[in-house]
Amino acid sequence: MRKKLVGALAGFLAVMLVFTILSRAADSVGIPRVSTDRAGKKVIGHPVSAAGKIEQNQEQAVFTEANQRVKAIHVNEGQQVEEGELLFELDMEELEDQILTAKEELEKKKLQRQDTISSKEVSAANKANSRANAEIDYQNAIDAADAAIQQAKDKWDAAKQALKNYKKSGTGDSGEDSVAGTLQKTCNEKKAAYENAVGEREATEQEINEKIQAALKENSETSDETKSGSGSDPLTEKEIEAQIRAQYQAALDMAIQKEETALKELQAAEAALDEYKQNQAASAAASQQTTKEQLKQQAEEARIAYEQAVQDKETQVNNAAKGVRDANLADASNHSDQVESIGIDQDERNLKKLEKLKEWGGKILSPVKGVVSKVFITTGDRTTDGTAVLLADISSGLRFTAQIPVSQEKYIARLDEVILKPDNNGKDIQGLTVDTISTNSEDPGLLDVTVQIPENALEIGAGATMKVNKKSEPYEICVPLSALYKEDNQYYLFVVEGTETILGTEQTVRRLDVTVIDQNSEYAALENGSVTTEQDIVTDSEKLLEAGDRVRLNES
Amino acid sequence: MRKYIGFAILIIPAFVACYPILFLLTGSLMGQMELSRNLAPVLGGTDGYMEWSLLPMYPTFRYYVELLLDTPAIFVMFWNSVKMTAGILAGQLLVGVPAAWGFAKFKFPGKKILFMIYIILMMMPFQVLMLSEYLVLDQLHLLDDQLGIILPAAFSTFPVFIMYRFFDGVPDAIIESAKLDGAGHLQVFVLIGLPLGSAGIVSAMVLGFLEYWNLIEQPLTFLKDKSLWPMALFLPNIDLNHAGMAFVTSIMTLIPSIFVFMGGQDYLEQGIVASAVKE
Repeated sequence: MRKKLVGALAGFLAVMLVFTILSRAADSVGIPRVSTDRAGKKVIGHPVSAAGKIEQNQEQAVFTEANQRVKAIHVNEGQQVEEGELLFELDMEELEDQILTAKEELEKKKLQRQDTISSKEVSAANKANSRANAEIDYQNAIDAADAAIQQAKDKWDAAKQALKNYKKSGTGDSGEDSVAGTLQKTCNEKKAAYENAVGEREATEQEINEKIQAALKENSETSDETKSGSGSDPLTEKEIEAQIRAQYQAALDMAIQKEETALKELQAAEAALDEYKQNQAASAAASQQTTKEQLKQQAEEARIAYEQAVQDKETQVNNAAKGVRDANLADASNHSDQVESIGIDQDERNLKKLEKLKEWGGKILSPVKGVVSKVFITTGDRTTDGTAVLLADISSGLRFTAQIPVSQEKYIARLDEVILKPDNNGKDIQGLTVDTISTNSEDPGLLDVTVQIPENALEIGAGATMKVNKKSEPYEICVPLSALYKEDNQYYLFVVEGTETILGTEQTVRRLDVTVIDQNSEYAALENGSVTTEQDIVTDSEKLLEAGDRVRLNES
Repeated sequence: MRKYIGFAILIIPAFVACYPILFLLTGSLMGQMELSRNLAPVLGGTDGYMEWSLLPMYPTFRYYVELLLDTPAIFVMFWNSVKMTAGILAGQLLVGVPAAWGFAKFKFPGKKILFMIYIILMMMPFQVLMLSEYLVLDQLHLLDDQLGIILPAAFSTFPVFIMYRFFDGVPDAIIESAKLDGAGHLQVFVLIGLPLGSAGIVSAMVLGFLEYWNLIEQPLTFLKDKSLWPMALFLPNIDLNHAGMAFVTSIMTLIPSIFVFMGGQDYLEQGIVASAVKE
């Protein structure tokens, strides 16, 4: 019995031993293995590298007159040309044709301008003329109306006088006589005025003729001097006469007008006298009783006629004044001759350009040493006013350009050292510096970086890769990037610590929140004090860790 | 007929005495839900009385698996218990048995006083001796070391007392005759004393095992390193969440004790009988 019990106890202990091992194995399966590392002092480098190509610093555009025919093009795209090398040729025949046409056009325009000037002068003269005429008409209207009024007044006075005389004398003969006498007196006066006016006019005409003779003489003396000069053209005799006539036309017209007025007045006075005499004859037969009534009626009629004459004056004067105002209205400005002058100047300039082209023989040369980027013209077609040939200006130097994303902006700055590695496996070019950094015009998410390269280092269009390595200061605490985890914008890492448990010293992980001050693709720099250099930091683990998890250290 | 009545009358207290074991067995097979429901008035703070059923409604081996396979810690503690108990018992054999023989068969001055001190020490509970023991162990640099538990227990007075009674029962005549035959003290002790007093030794061992297998206070006080703890300290706080584990742990603790007791119960009986019979 005892033996059995001892055996059973032994068996129990053996079973416990088995379970001991089994439970350990089962437990350790779930424990993740981790690799650890310590934080150290490191320099965080931010290498910026980009592939780009070589291009020129400056471009030159070569252009020529538009509308010329291209006879031959002597260069191809990508060809290097020296300064003064022939680029392309223009057709000379076409050019000369164009020059001739331009000259003719110029001549036409000049003649046109002359015509315009002269017609302007003529119209000015006409205007002055019509203005003077209107003045004269006005004056005449006043005079004529005055005359009519006077005449009517005279008639009225005569009638009144006749009536008075009749009342006084009873027969009225003296009245009649006085009326006739007054009218006769008026006639005489008018006649005198008329003869005066005629005399004036003749005197004016004489004056004009004298002046014309004098001016003609003067002109023939001075015409020799003006022929040699390059002023306006010498005036002809006809023109001189016309000018002088124009000057005195107003006076002459006035004189003529006065004469006519006087004549009219004379005629009016004579007509009035005749009329009276006729009336007298007509009314002589009438009975004496009705003479008083007749006289009265005549006086009345005369009075009415007088008032009518006054009114008529007003009307006529108004009309004439209107005519004066119309004649004085200003004309619209006419600068057409100046416009034509400007056009002539433009044409002259164009002509000069064409002539210069002819001087060059229609050959267009390269202004600088460079490489032809693009040829915009085709043989046989006409040139446009845009660029004919685009040159990459070698003499101004070459540069390397590349694009980098905006996120790398803080890792590159002007004057940073650059190493260029040409694509064709040539030697690395060192000792270069970053020239400019600017935002790309097409894509605001990219930056253009340029580096000036020395002469003859690389050709235009060659590709290369640039490397800029900006080293920051060393950071005290740097951890590998694989050690960092991120949750809700908070970076953290796990620190392995030993804890005492029943099973002995176990490794557990503790979460530590840290702040990252700089990082690149391999390392992250942490704020001082977040982690010490003695702590073991988890850099790699089999599965996702959580705070408090047990872990096993990897055998390194 | 009387036998049966006696039997019937005794079976009830026997059942009552065995009930805790049954309780343990059924509890270890119960799932969390059932345990929570049953034990809620005791551990969960609800009102009423605890319920218990002799057979679990939904028996499960879940806690057995959890303890045996998912908790390597329990095995560490198991082997700690084994180590400590074996050490203590070995120490007691080595030290206590000769001490008991000496008390029984030898006369020396101050024997009575020494024995008195032994009895007093035996009666003092651990809590009384705890502080002085701590200081002594600290001076000996045996704190946080299993030897700090093994050594004081090995020199315990209780087994000495039990074995003394047995050694006392060995007739002097045999010893005298052995001495006449030329046996020395050691020979007498090993060849006559040990076999004749073996019942006492074994019973002391059994009682010692039962005591030291379930040791709680000394390890809790003197051992800081949890990897040195014995199994009794696995669940210092039993709450509703750990009730299942507690049951299974208890069963695991129980099994060696059962084996040991079953093996040694004859000797215990013998021992009790022997002490009753006076030569």
